[in-house]
Parts: sequence; C-alpha cells; structure tokens
Amino acid sequence: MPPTEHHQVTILMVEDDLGHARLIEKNIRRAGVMNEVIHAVDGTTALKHLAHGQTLDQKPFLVLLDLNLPDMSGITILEHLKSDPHLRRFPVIVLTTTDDEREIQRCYDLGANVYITKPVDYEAFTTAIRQLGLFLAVMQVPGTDEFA
Amino acid sequence: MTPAISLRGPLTFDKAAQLIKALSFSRPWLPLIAGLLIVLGVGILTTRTVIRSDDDSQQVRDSLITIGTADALMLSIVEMNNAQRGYILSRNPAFLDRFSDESRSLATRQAALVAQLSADPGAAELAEQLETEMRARKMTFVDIERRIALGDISGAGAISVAARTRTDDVRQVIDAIKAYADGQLKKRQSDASRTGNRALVLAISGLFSAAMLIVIATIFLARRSADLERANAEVSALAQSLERRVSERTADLAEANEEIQRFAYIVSHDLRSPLVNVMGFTAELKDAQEIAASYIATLAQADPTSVPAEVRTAVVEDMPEAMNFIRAATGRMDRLIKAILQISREGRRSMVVEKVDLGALLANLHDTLSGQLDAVNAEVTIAPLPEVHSDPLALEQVFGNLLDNAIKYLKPGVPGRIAVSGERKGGKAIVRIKDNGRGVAPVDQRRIFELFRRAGQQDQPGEGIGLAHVQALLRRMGGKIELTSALGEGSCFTVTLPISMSPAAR
Repeated sequence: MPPTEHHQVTILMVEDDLGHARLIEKNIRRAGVMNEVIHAVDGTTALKHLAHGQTLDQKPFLVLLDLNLPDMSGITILEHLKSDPHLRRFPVIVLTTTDDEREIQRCYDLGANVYITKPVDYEAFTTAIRQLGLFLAVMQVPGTDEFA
Repeated sequence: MTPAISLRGPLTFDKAAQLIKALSFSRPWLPLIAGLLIVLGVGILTTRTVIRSDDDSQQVRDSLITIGTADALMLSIVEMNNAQRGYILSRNPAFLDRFSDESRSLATRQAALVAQLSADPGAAELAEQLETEMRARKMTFVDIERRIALGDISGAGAISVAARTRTDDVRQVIDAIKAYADGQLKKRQSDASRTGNRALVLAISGLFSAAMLIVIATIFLARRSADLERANAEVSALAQSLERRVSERTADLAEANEEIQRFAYIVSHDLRSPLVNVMGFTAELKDAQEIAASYIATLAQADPTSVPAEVRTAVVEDMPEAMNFIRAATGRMDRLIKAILQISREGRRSMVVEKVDLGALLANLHDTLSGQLDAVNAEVTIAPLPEVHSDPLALEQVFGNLLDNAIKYLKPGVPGRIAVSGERKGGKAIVRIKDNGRGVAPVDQRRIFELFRRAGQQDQPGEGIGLAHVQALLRRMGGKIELTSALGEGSCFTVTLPISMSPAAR
C-alpha cells in the first residue's frame, strides 16, 4: 500500500538479524499493518535513512530498534534520534533480546517510547509482535510539517 | 656466614685473628664469655693472693715473736744472774725475791720459745740445743742457790763467776735462734712481695685483656644488631610487598570473576538471538505444514489415490515429528540459557546486609509452598532458628530452593516429613533441612552441586540449576552447604552462614 497521505508513517526497522527482521515483518503484516517497512541491517544504514528521510521526503518515521548491532549500539542511534530537534518526535520502539533492567531504564531515560523484550518462546514472540502491530495501527505519528 | 678456615698447619697470628673474627661473627657472645672468665680468674687469683699474704704476715709475726721471746729469755737469764750476784755481794734478801720472780718468768718464756720453735720443723734442732744449754745453765743457778742456802757465799760467788761461760753458751744458741728467725722473716717478706707483684701483673693484664674482649664483643654485637635491623627491614618490606601482591591478586580475581559473569551474560544473550530464529521459523514451518497437511487431507478425501503414500507420510507424520523434536530441543536450550542468564545476573547483583529472622523467612516460604505440600502429602516442621545479618533475597532463594527440592524428591507413596532445625555455633548460624525422601547416592553427592547436573530418577522438571545456584549464593555470603544422605533414606542439607555477613562480600 503506497503512502497516499503526507503523514503516512514509514517503519524503519533497525535489525541486524535477517531472521528476526523477517519474523517481525511477517507478524506485523499479519496484524494488518501495511505501512512501508524499511529494513536497515546496521546502525550506519539506519542513520543514513533517517538523514535522507529528514532532508528529502520529509517523511515521518516510526523506528523499531534492536540494541545489538554490529557497528554500533542501538543506544547510540537512540541518543542521536533524541538529541536531534527534527527527529526527536519520531516514536522509538526498542525491540531487543536484552532484558537487563538497567538497560531498559537507560532506554526509557533516553526517550524510548516502548521497550519490548524479544521473547524466545515463539508464541509469546508472535503475540508481542501482533500486539505491536495493533499498537502501530492506531498510533498517531506527528508529521514533520507539524514542527517544521 | 662463617668463612671456612683451615686449622691445619702451624697456628699463625693471621690464622688466629681470622679464627677469632669468624667465631666472633657467628657467636658474638664468645669473647664476652671469655672476658667474664678472665675477670673471674683475676678475682680468684686476687682472693688467693690476699689469703696468702695474710698467711705470710702471720708467719712474719711469728718470726718477730720468736725473736722477741728469745731476747726476753736471754734477759731473764741475765736478770737471774744479776740477782744472785747482787745477793752474794750485798746479802740483801730483796735480791732473792727478785731471783725467784725472774726464775718463774724464765720458765714461761722458755716454754713459749720452745713451743714456737717446735712448730717449725727447720728449728727443731735449735729447740733441742736450747733445752740442753738451758738445762745446764739452770743447774748452775740451782747449784748457787743451794750454796747460798748452806751459807757458802764465797763458793756460790766462785760458781757464779764460772757460770758466765754457761750464760755465753745459752746466748750463742739464742743468737742462732734469732738469726734463724731473722732469716725466715726476710725470706717471707720477699716471698710476700713477689707474690703481690705477680698478682698485680696478672690482675692488670687479665683486666686489660678482659676489657679488650668485651670491647670486641660489643663491636660485633653492635654489628650484628645492625645486620638484624637490616634483615628486619627487609622482612617487613617483603611482607608489605606480599600484602600488596595479595591485594593485587584479589583484585585480579575479582576482575576475572566479573569478566566471567559478563562473558556468561553476553554469551547467553547472543545465544538467544539465533534461538529466536530457530523457534520462529520452526513455527512458520509448522504453519506451512499445517496448510499442506490440510490440503492433502482434502485431496485424499476426494480421491485417496491422488496422494502418494510417501508424500502423505512426509507431510503428515515426518514433518510434525521433526518439528516437535526441534521445539523440544530449543525449549530446553532456552531454559538453560535463561538459567545461565539468571545466575550471571545474580552474580552481578550487589548484596545488602540486613537483619534477617531465619525463622520468619522459613515460615513465609512454608506458607507459599503449602499448596504443593498438600498435593504431595508432605509436611514441614520448623524449629526455632537464629537471626543473621545477611542478604534477605539470597537467603530466600537458598532456602526456597532447598525446600522445593525436598518436596520434589520425596519417596513416592511415603508421607513426606521435612524438618528444619538450626543453631548458633561460634560466629556461624547452622540450618539443617532434613527429609525422608529418596536420598542421593554417594557418587552423586558432589555432582548435584554442579551446574546442569541432576541425579536419580528424572521424573521431575528442572535443569539442574537449583543447587549450583544455592552453592554460588552461599559462597558469596561467606557460607557453605554440605550434604549427608543415604539412598532411599533421605537427605540432610546443612547450611552454614556467618551470623554477620562481611560487608566486603558482594
């Protein structure tokens, strides 16, 4: 479904594990979320997409962020997002295997909107992703024009 | 430290000096003792000299007395002679009285002189001579006395004159005695002076060498005490460096331990990631298989021959079987990884020290387990338990695990009896958890404390983590756990805890 309105949200999925990425995409599609999904396999690509989206298309993003990336920590991307006046309003959902309480606390402190621990148990995983999909479907993402 | 010295060959001065030095160095008290011995020798010598000189002066006195007595004896003879002659010339009876007086003192003096001479073996002959001459002279006195008594005055006078030669004989002997005594006197005086001089020389040289030895000993003692001080300083420096090394090692160990914890944490996390894929895509496969299976079922219903038997078996039987095995294996792997994560997280958690009433803690655990207890027909009795200062969460996990194990591994068909008792012993709290369960065979009694190891019949869920976790927690708290058990008769886990957990344990 191509974006028809300017505030149609693009999902930027930052995830180095291709399997995880595929499972996540499949499951949010099953939940009925048909937004465009851009997949970045490392932090550098993710930052490039963010910069690109910001300067050219002025598209709002919803960021699905894994913390364990090969080239940088997801925390760095989170910090970058939240310190940029244009990007800071994009919702960030941290979706990672880490369930360390300090790590979770740190992400919320840095401005993450939702923190989801990837459950290893597959039913729990799909349930979580589908709930996330429902959540995405109803979530309002501020358009760039609102703060441009 | 003593240099080797060859004592063969003639003892030269150099060799002697070397020997003294070596001895002084290894035994600095030797010269000191030698000095003391010399001082003692000098003391003995001096005492002997004093006694000897006392002896000498006694003998000198004796000689002087002999000379005096000899003179007095001679005087007595002369006096007696004079008294007799005085009477013969004047007929004055006062002379007779004087004669008898002198005659008495003559007897005393002669006896004294003879006694003195007889004491000296060298003068025995002189004493004999004296006695002989005195006897002759006294006989003359007696002869004259008798004549005077008979009135023969002129006869007495003649004898008295003739008696002069007898007097001279006595005088000769007396002179000889005096000469002898004088000789003895001189000899003793020179002896005494020689002894005195020798003693003086010995005393001076002895005291001098003693002083030298004591000085040497003092020097060596001073040197040795300096050596000792240096050695002491070295030892304390070593001790300090040892202490530093121990603390360095401790820090290294703590760091290594932390690294292992971090490693366990990272590894378990990174293992989870691929596991998500395995589980996730297995589930996807299952979905796909279900679609295929239902399609095959539809086909088979329409026309049983349209589906080959091997396709049906592969899709309907083999694929679900394979997926079930994959799911079981991944499920187990997931639980193991979770366990490692949990233990590593526990290891990273900093412990707190609080007052914990073990009785209340166990009673709480008992309450939470009551459902389980009813289900397996078991009961727990808790005797009074001590209070400790320790980490409450860790203690809860320790005793929770132990009670849980006791309930899980009861003997089927036998009502469970689990008894918790405790005591204080020294600075330790001891808690025993005794059950009448299935027990642990001796070969397994160490193994069950290892991670992922279990023993006995595997009829209860679990990954073999509980006791390893309990042991790790107790170690961190400064405690320990021991097991006494007999297979089929029950187990007794004994937990020993410090009454007060050291704040250094974390």
